[in-house]
Amino acid sequence: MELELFRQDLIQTSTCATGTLAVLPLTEEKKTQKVAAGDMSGVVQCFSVKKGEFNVAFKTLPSAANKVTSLVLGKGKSQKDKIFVAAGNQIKGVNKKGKEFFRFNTQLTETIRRVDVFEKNIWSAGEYVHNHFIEAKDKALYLCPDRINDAEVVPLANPAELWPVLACQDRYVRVLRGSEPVYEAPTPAAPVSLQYVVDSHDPQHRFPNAKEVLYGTDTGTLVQLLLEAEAARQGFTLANPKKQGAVAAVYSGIDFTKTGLNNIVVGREDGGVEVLDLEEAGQLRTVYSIKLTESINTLDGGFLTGLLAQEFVMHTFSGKVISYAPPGGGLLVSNAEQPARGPLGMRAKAPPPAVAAPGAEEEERRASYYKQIDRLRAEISTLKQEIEAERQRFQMKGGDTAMLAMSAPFTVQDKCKLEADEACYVLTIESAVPIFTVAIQCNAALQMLDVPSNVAILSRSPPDEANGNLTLATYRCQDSTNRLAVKFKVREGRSAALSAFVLPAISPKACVVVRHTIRPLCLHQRIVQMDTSRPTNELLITGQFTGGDAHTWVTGLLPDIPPTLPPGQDGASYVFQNTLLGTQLLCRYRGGEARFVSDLVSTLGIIHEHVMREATNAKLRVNVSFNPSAQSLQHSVALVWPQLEKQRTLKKTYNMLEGLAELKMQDGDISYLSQDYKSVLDRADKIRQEYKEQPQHLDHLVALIKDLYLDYCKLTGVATPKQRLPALEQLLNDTSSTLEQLMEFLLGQR
Amino acid sequence: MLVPAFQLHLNEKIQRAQAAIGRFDGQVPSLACATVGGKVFLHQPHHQGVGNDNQISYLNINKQISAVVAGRLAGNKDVLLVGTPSNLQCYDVELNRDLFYKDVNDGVNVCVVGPFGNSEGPLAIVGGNCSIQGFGADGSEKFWTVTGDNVSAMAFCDVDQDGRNELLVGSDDFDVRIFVGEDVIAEVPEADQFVALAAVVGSRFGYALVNGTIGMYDRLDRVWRVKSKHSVCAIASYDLDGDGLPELISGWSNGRMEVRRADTGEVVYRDHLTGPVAAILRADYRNDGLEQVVVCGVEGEVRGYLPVDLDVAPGVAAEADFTEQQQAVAELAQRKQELMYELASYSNMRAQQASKEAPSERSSLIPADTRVDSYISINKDTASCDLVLKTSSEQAVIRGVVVFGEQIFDEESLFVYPKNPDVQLAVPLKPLKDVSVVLMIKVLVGGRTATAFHVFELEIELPKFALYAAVDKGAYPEPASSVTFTVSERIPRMCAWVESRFNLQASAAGRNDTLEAYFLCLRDRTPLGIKAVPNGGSVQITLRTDNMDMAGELVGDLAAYLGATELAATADFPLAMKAFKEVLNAVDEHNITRLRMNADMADASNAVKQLIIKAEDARILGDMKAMRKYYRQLADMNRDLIAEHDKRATNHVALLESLKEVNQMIQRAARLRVGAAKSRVVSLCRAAIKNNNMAALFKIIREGDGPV
Repeated sequence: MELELFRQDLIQTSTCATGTLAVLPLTEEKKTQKVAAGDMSGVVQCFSVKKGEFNVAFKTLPSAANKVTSLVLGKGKSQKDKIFVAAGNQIKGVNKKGKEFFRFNTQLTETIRRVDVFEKNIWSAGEYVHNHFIEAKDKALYLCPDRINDAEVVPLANPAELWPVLACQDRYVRVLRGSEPVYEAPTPAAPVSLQYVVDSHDPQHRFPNAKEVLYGTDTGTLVQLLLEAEAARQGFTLANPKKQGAVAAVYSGIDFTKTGLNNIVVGREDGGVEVLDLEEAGQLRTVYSIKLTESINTLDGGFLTGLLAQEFVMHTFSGKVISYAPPGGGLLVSNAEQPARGPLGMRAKAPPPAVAAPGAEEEERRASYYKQIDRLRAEISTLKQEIEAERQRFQMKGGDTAMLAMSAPFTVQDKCKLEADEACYVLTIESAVPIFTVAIQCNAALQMLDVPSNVAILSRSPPDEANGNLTLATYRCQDSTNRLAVKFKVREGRSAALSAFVLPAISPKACVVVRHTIRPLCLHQRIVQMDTSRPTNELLITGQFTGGDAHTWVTGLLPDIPPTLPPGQDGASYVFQNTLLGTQLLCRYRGGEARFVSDLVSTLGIIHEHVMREATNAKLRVNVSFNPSAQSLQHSVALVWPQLEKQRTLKKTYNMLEGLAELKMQDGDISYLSQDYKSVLDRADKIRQEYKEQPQHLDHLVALIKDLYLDYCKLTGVATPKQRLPALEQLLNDTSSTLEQLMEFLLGQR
Repeated sequence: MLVPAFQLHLNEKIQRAQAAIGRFDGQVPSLACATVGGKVFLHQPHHQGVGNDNQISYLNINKQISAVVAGRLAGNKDVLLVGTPSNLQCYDVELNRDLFYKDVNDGVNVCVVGPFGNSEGPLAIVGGNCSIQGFGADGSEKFWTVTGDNVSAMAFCDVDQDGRNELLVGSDDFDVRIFVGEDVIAEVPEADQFVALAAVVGSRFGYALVNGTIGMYDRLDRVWRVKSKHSVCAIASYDLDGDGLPELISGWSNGRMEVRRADTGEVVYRDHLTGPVAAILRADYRNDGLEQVVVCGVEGEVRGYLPVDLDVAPGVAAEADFTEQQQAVAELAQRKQELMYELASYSNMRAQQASKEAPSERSSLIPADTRVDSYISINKDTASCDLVLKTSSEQAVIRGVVVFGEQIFDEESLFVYPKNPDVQLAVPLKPLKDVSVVLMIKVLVGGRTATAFHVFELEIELPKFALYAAVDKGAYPEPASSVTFTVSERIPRMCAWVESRFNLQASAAGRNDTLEAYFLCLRDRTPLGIKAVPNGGSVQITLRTDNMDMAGELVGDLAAYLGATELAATADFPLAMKAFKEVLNAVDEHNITRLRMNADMADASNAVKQLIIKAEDARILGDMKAMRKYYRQLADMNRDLIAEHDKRATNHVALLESLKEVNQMIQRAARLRVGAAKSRVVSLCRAAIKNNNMAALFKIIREGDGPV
């Protein structure tokens, strides 16, 4: 690794939300910067580290009602060292000594996820609503068509006029002015974190007026967006070939690599942290990376533990505040008297290289680590004593164990996400305390898949149909595990409910349940545009229903749709792609009419079934007309064909490989083999690798075409010829069969 | 960090657990491994000018290889033992000749070499289909006994610390049996089939199971174990960290190699190979006087590790590497967080109690004094024994139960999630075999409307014969078979045994009463009768069941409970004997078929050779028509040969099955006895089979003794 950074564990808070830590600015005096952090127990604390000693400037009392959901510093000139805290629907201003100087109850119904303050302006972002207040009076309100994942305010018009920028779940970054969006920038995946970067990464100064925001997506990519008053321009992107977790936090404020541009620090949901360097050519390069075991909720930076070098700091899900410092910085303990150092430059200037003798720094750092370890040990022993005292008191009073268990601040953060590339779901569960077991229950049959990074042991219980449990499984964690990923495949067709019971490994033993709904068309992913060249089938539903009714049907069918129709509209239109087959689905509906168009008949079959059931339940009369297309079946099969062909050739060559290798070993001389076979031997490693990666792929594809055929027969009213299936399977597995033969077979029955 | 001392890539596949290092010329070490296509390759790095450049030479075995072992049977050099599913070959590598070649009908699953039993020289001990055989240097059979199932792992270890090695045998019935000569001195049940066993130090030995568990025993007590979702490929022991105590080294299917402390199971070192591990060996492979751990990968990777020399390497530790400290800090921070969590629970609770809002929240909680009781009851309808859980309060319902237990579920746990939670829940258990297990139960209890639950943790011991329902006398027809023996014990002890092993409250019985108990095994619905009649100072016990395995299990358990070391019994199993007679007939038939087919085969292969010569002659003479004819005949012949081979293979499988049956019958007969009577049955049965004296065999099985 190019960069060397050293870890320091600063403090421990309770579990926290994202964006609840901030580093206060440097002051005139030669002091390290203070850090303010809020957490889910309602505590806000501010501390600084001076010569290895921790000073707490203030710490509020815990309060279950005031879970801190956002903590920022003011953006106005005189507000830069003021801390603004959002809890529920309340916003508080606290100065650096802990004195509350401002309190504003917004009366909003949504929890404020992000607050921003600039002089008299306050912006608050809830789940769907973005508000702007001036002097605590409503100024503007924007109802977002989909969930707001993160928000910022950026001086786009002039330094005194800040415009809100929202990262929305429907894959747009929206720039607002007043109550109206100025423009929307489409994003490749749902943006989940957004950061305004003052010193933009524009080495050639091509866009001097543009303001830079960096957003991270739930697929783990990072994108630079250069915003101007009228339009946005997309800059560099960081790809995610290793499929790391979603980017939960971004920070750019320190130039570790001394290139003149600040490095970008990316914190991921799966605990990955990377420091990136932007090269001249506009390429991002990872110069430092580390993997923690829990998600990174906030990133910031500054002179935290020493005045010699800046370090970045993170707030993790379980509440650890950890900083990473470059050589020369961080916690160092010197035995000798500290030599006088030169006066500290301003923040923009890089501090002079501090290390005189490298051996000396090493010694100091080692000493500091020992000191940290000692400090932690001391804290742990104090905590143990306190717990012992509590236990005794508890037992003497004849305590209420149930009450104790329920009082445990056992928080679980979870996410159930479609893995588009593999057409499977990943449920990630992250707990503040080590997990003993996660028990999974589902009323649909799930195929549990292996996650290489998991150390948990999967144990499936036999399905219990009498109780409606088609999937029952436990994941037992060993060692100390706080994160667990459960990956599973599920078939489309029926809506299903999944529950995960999280049992902690330490006492008090409470159990938290995490529930998710798997929708009938769960393997569909939102896309922006439909490919109109495909032959399609159409399902048209008409009748006495409102746009809202149709919207409810669609939300019940497909993932990733806002719960209500966009305000003021009676209809909507969404396009989806089937992640397994690549087929598409268009839903367009308004009051009285809903139109579903897809190149895959089975999808429409599922929609038909679902809508009829819902409509009957709501006592709505609807008419259905169905317009199938034989071409679309051919088209769907043609989509899968190349993959199938590739996989079965791979399987054949793989099976041949062992035999050929044996021949080679037996005879030594293989010049008599045909060219094809020789090339198989030459590519042996590659073939093995490819086969190892996807051993079940072929079976899967074959099953898929079979299903497609059955669906088609069912929906078009052809009597399902089950006896033809073995012949179909043979045709599919025979490496010499062609697409034409298959088509003939599929349509031959008509 | 563990850094390999050397690293080679042999570019040859190595079969799992089929590698050995030996000094085949008595001087320098060589590595012998089974590779693909029925071959063994030898890597001889210390030989000059042997073979080609890569120092590899091949031995053609032309059969599926099942074991490769190097060892010293006689003289001052190692011999190479190669096992196949039907024979054992002892080969002198230096002189390139076979020392002996023995047919081993039960197959060679595992082989170890060392002094054992009463034999003078070292033996090559071969574990096969339910049997264990020992061969001397000349290939003569010196030792024979049976075990419960296919042998999958063996190791020598001085478990009882008497200065002589015992033989540990792990078999597919999940048991480790410890043999002193022909006698089994102890049985240790485990949770799955064995991959490997390895002596570690003193009375400690390590084990590895198919389900990914590795662990350590000290004598008969398990010290630790860990389970992984990967599968373990090999284990060995060596003192790599230089603390004087050997560690357990394990190699895994994902290429991981782990070094764990023998006393705690804590990981000391870790390394990764590029492919799955095939074998872990110990040898001075560099021939410099220092023993190494040599790890072989399936893809032909070979790595050697030296112990960390603490005197030489202080500089290494002082390198500017803070990973260890950083890790320590991270671990402590985690610990601190856990403690803070617990502390916060207490303070939160106090805060809630202090604020008077508590009652409203209290209503969704379960009452403070809620208990969860558990007991085991027999459910005849579902043929299972139910673990019944019941809360002590109407307000507290059981939302779900997770039960962890070994050997009673398909996998390690069972999760029960009732549709309508209630105060009582029955978890049906169907143990696959008769074992006594401790069930670890996590009960999720909450109010009727709760979304968060309190976890009650319980443990309950499932009795060994839990799946036997007590029935009245005469409810089921009395089994025709029985085993009868006498123990010098009193009736109350017998009652205590029945009570502790069966899920039954037996009525107190006096010293002179007759104990009679009748059960029905719910697994296969076979009846069982236990009758104990006082007879002077001792008790005559009759176990009536048609199932010999069940009888053996009961006898073994009873003997262990009573501490009886000697027990002779009369076994009367007419049904089993009838079936056994058929098995013996089948063995004869299969053997005859085999011989006949072998002769046919020899004829056919001669014909093939002739045809090839004729066809090639025709080709050289330019007589294409004739050549085509001969080749066509050859193709036909080839097809016939393949068909014949299939038949032969089927016959062979059937033969092996029957032979296994025979071995198992001997084992069953032996298990009805304890101590000297037991080993007598084994050796007499073996002798009877060798002499083909079937009448004597049946008599021995029945009476435990008899002339051969």
